[in-house]
Amino acid sequence: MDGPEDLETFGQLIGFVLRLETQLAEFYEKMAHREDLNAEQKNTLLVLHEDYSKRAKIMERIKRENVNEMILERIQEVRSFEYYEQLETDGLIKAVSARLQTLEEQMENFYLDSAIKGKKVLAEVSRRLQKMADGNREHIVMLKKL
Amino acid sequence: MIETIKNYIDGSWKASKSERGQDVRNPATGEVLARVPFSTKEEVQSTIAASKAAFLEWREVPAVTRARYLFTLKQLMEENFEELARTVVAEHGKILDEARGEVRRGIENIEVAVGVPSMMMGYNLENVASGIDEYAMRVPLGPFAVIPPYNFPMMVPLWFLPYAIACGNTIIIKPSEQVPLTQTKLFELIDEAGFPSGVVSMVHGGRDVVEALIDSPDVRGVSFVGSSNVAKQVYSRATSNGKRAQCQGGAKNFIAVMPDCNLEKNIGSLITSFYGCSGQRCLAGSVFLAIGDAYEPLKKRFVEAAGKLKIGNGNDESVQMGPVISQAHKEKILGFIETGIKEGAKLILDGRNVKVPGGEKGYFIGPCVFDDVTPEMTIAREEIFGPVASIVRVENLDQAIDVIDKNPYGNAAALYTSSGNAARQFRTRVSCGNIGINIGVPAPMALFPFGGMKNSFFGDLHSQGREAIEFYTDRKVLIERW
Repeated sequence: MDGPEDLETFGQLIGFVLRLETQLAEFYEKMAHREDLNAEQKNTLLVLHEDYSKRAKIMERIKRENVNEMILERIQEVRSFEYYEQLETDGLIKAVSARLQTLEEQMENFYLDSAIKGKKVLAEVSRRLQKMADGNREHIVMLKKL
Repeated sequence: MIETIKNYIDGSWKASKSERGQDVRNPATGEVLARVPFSTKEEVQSTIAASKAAFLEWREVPAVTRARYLFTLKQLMEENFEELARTVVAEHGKILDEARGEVRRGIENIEVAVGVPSMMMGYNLENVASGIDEYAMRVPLGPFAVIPPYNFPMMVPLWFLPYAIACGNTIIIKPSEQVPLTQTKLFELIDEAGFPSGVVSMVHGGRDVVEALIDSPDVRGVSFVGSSNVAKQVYSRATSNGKRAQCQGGAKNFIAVMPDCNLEKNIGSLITSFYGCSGQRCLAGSVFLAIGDAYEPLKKRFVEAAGKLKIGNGNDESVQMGPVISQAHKEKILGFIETGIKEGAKLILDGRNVKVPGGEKGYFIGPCVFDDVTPEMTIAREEIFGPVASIVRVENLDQAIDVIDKNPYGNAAALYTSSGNAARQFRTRVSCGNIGINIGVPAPMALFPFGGMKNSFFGDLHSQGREAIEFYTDRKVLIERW
């Protein structure tokens, strides 16, 4: 993945979000298959995998159904971020959980910020980003229990 | 090996026997994508014959069942959405977001057309006279032809197709020879949806195919979108052959900006209006009417924003404007720019020599802005259909409306203002079919007719929504006594 970049069109913003959500869905599924986890931990990770899969599908639908105007208006001051380092499945579960909580918090802030900045341009997409930020907050609560 | 695309006749794909045709090119790279045949007279006639035969059965299919085929088509389009959008980008050149928006707008027409079982209902009155009942009903007519333009390869055919067949007619599409691949993809889905053979057909070609469709006594109506000159000819020829016709022509769209316009809030939509789809839209803004003190801040802000647009290949999601459709069209636009300069306008943003890495063989023109334009100049009167904005100064709203009304086109006009009174005056007095107030591209949703007046439209009934149902049905009255 290239370094952080400005996300100035809806295509870029939604494209970044889709990649992130899809990779997280794959990551949580892979994590859930670690052999050192107890049943409750596996279940939590599988719930997170399903939630991210659902979010990616919804975002795919948003891309299809809500970008129905020709929008050249630039989104201002929204930047992608790097996250690959947090998606390491190796290490003690507590350490992995701490990394993921940091990532979830970063995502929450990103979605809230994007929702505000994109609102003038495409309100429907902003509403969905706001909801996703709420979801990230719930994920942090779940990860704390791992 | 460059493939020659096929016609879709009587429910199957058929290679044309014609040796005539032309290349379909990617406007961003100049690469040849495919070859489109110019079908023979016999192939057109066999398409019409199959369409006519299919009509006799299709009209007997219950309206609800006809709608279900369209539900299936919609579902297939959703599943293949991205591929459809990328095909639009490849052969038209517009950017991905624009292409996705276009596919979505096309699907919206299907979503409206599936309501035909309700929209097509008639009415009746018992005992209109003693013991006599009277009914008015809508009935389909037969095969219809659609001749769409190049600028919306997915959306424009769907302004017509779903309504025509939902009402019980059959339909023949003659795609633009510059962008036939998107319709080919759509017809793959139509084939998969399983419409009965002959209900939906596609035949490729040029002018002679269009004339054959218009002249055929078996084709009951024609829908056309293109230049005004051709729209008028199609309308005259079709109606003199006893057909219904709805022919949308060209445009010269004015955007009046009042001093009380919130420029910061609206600059994005103004840029979108002038440069979306590289200006190749019949609803694109073409001429600013800068009213009074609006002139200086508008000019400054607009030129600044236009200069920042990123031009390139539409597959790159960071790009904001793609190429124009062809080398020939690029040269035509450049010709208009030369004329503008010769007639005394000042080119204050010059996009003629834009450099696009990897797009050296593409047909790119960057955003252009002319200042000191007067309404008599060619660039203020004639349709350019490219990324060229002109700024005309006027003193007040009355002058702005006067300029708009003197122009022979009447497709769209917009006013940017914070004044309700100015907005009301504008929308009441301007003779254009699509009006925007603080909206730069007043594109009607599928529920509404796509307007157009004066030289921008020839006919009575417009496309989309309820008017489509009127166009694609006739009325029959039954009076009975038992």
